[in-house]
Amino acid sequence: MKTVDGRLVAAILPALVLAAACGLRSGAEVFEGERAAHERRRAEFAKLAAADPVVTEALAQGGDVVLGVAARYLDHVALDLPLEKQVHDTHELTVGTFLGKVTAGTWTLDVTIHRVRGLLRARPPSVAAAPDNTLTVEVPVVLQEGHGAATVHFSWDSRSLASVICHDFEVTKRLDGEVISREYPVSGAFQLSAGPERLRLEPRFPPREFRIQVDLTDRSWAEVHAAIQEQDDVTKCGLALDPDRLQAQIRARLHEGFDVKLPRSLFRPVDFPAAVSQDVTIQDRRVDLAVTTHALSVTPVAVWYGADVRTRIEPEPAPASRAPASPAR
Amino acid sequence: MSRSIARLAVLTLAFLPACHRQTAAGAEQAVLERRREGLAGLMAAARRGSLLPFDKMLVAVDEGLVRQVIVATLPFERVIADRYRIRVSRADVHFDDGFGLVRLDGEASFADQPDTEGHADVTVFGGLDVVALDPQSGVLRGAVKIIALDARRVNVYGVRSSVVEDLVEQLGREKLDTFSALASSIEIPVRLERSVMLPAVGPGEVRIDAATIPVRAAVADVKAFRGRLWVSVAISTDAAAPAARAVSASARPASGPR
Repeated sequence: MKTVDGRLVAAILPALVLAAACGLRSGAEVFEGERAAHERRRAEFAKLAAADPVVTEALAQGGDVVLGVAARYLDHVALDLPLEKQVHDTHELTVGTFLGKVTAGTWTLDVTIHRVRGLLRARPPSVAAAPDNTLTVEVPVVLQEGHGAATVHFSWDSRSLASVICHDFEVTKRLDGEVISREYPVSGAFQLSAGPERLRLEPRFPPREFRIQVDLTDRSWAEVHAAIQEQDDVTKCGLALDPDRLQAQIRARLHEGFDVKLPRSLFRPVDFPAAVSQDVTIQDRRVDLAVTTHALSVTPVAVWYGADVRTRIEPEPAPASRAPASPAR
Repeated sequence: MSRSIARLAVLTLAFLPACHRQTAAGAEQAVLERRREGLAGLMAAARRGSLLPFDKMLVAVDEGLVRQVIVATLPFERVIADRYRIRVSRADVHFDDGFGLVRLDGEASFADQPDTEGHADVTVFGGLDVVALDPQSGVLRGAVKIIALDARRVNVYGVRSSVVEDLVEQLGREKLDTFSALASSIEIPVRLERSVMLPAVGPGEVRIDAATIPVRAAVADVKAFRGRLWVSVAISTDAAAPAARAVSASARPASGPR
């Protein structure tokens, strides 16, 4: 009996083992079994997917591309209001004398708010779907870091009796003001429209007045105080003009505020930052696309925008015969 | 006896390539494996209640659209590894089972010979493996990773050609990455802007300057099922926006696109 060469056995055995293993792994029965198990899991997954509201809503839109935007997306704007708003106030002052109380005079305050700059920030809005592809929005808006320039004109008109010792005077100061930060509830709606490539929101906010309260900066108040203090002597009716009291009165008047129209400009048309491209590049070739809006709908889950996309070019005709080709990229 | 064993060894080794993925059965197996992996990921996500993370934006792209744009580029030829000329004439795309399958069919021949000398039918299976936003254009871009190749000999008038036999054998030995040039990347026709433009208002009592709000967008999650590629996009307008990253279509964290 001949003995088998050990080297040959060493060469054959791994090959046989591999071949056997290979035969087992790629066997039709095993493969079909795996495929059947996979199909069962697919059916199981289909049920799970069908119960997902996002999936069902998106699929219901149709279209080759569907963009869904969660219904909570707003912006913030920088605000610059050239107001020239007037605040006017006037008061008579009485002063106690050896003749009893007499009207010393009338002070008049005119404040002109020339301009207010600030940053409007929208707090998280409440958004609700409404008919006709509309989103109703209620949003608290805060004017932050509001500041501006104001001219304060203060005049003192002495009455005839007091004018014997008191003299009229006027002070005009250009000062820096600031807007008292507060929240303004704004409500309106966005009308959605679907362009060929993208989704646009057009604001529908009715004109409405908002009360803006202003104050002066500490530095400006110091200037006001100094100006009144300057008049606070006997010859200028210092007995009547208490700078602290007067300043408090002026401040109270400014805090009453004034009405400013902040109409639709608070919200401007916004294009969603996603669009369906008019072309793509595949394998170094540009493919032009024709995009048409398929659907637009607003649901409690999202704003859905669907588009149909078609290629504009025809496939190249196959050449009759081919020479050896150029190398790949 | 030793000669017989040697013949047996050679024969066995000759059959081994049939076990490789570059066969019809091997390719089907490879595709099924990817489908099984992908479906397992989908099932897990669905059971967690996070099948589609949808906080800001969701993009759903139909497989027919991607198929259409690829078909529009056909036919095309590539020379692979300086050895093979592959002409792709058909393409198909399926977004299902958590796996974006790209299938390209065509013919292969030796690059230094006219294809009249003989050619083989080839099918390349790729997975749309990574989807990310192009940092420059904002376009969604998917990278295709080749997962299997099926090369089949074509007999002319029933006559076996040694050139074709050789071609099929050599194609079967190549690494799959070699064929990446056939389908390296796919643009998905959805563009995410890097800013939102707010037009100026005024002049008038109220004047608001035009504003540009930077938008940071990043692909947060990608899934493929029901014939669609579902891309969840995280969008932020503040500095704490998520860093741009690439996400695998089979819901596995992956490296950036090639």
